[in-house]
Amino acid sequence: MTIGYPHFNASPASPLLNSAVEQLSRLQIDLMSDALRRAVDDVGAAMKHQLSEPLTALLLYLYEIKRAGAFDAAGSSAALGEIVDRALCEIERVCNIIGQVGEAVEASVDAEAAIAHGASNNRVRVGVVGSPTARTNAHRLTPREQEVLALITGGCSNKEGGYQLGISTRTFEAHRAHLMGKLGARNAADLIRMTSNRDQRL
Amino acid sequence: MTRILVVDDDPSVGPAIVMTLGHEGYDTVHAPDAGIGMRAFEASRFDLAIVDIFLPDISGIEIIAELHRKSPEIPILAISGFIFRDSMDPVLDYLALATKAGAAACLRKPFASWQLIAAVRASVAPALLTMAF
Repeated sequence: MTIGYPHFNASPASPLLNSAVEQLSRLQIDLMSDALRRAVDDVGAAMKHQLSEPLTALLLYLYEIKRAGAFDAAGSSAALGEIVDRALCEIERVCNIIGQVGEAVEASVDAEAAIAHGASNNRVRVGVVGSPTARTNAHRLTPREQEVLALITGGCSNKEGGYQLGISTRTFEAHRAHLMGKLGARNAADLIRMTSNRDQRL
Repeated sequence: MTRILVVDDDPSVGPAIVMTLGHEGYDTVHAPDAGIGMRAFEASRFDLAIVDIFLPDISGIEIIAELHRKSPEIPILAISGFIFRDSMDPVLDYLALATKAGAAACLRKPFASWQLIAAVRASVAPALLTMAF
C-alpha cells in the first residue's frame, strides 16, 4: 500500500524532496509489513501453544466421559456414547485443522522474514531491537521474537512483557519459549549471557 | 503402585492428565509450577516424571536436566505444545534437546488419552519403548 504526495510530486526541482518521499513510502511499507508479521506471528504462537492445551484437556475429559458411561451399553446410554464418540471425532478434526493452520502461518512468517532479509540492504529497516546482537540474529528470529528478546534481556517478566506488547502473558511465554529454543538458551540468564557475549565480540 | 509426577502449569491440562492416569491405576501428583515439582520430586519417590517443556518462568528442558541429574534412573516424559522441528532452523529440534537433557520420550499437545497412556506405559517399561514409537 502506498500513499500519494501530489504537492511533492508536482515539484520537479526537488530531487531531495522526492527522495525523502520515496524513503517515507518505503518506511511506511516496512512498518505495515512489520505490523502484519507481528500479527501473524501472534496468531501462529497462539495456535500452536495456547490452543493445544485446552484441546488436550478436552480430548482427555471427553475420553473420561466415555469411560464413565462405558458400563451402560444399552438404551439412552448407548445413544449418549455415540454422541461422545462423535464429539471426540470433531475435536480430533479441530486438532488437525489447527495443526494445518499453524504450519501455514509458520510458512508464511518464514517467507516474509526471508523477503525482508533479502531486501534489507536497500530498504529503511525499522529496528525493533537496539542491540547489534539482535540484528545479527534477525534472519533467524521473527520480528515479534526480536521484541520479546529485547524485553527479556531488559529484565521484563512475562507479565510485564506481554503488557508492553499488548499481547497475553501466555502468548509472550510462547514467543519466549520459541526464541529460547531457536537460540539454544536454557533459561533467561542464558539468553542475557549469550546476548552480552555477542555484543562484546561486535 | 506406579507413582507419577506431572509438572504442567496449565490449569486444565495438568488436572486432566491426573484424572486420566488416575483411572488407569497410576498414583499421580500434579505440580503446577517448576518449584513445587522439584520439591515434590525431592520429597518422595516417583517412577516417572511428566514435564511440560514450556513452563512460564523456567525452561522445561532445564527441569528435565535437573531431574535427570538428581535421579538418572527415573524416566522422564516430555510434553510440548510446539512442533518439535523448527521450520526456520531444521538442525535444531526440541525433541533432540529434551532427549539430550534426559527425557525418555516426548509427546506433543494436543494428544489423546490413548497416546498419553501408551507413552506412559512405554516410559515406565523401557522395553516397550521401541514398540510404541
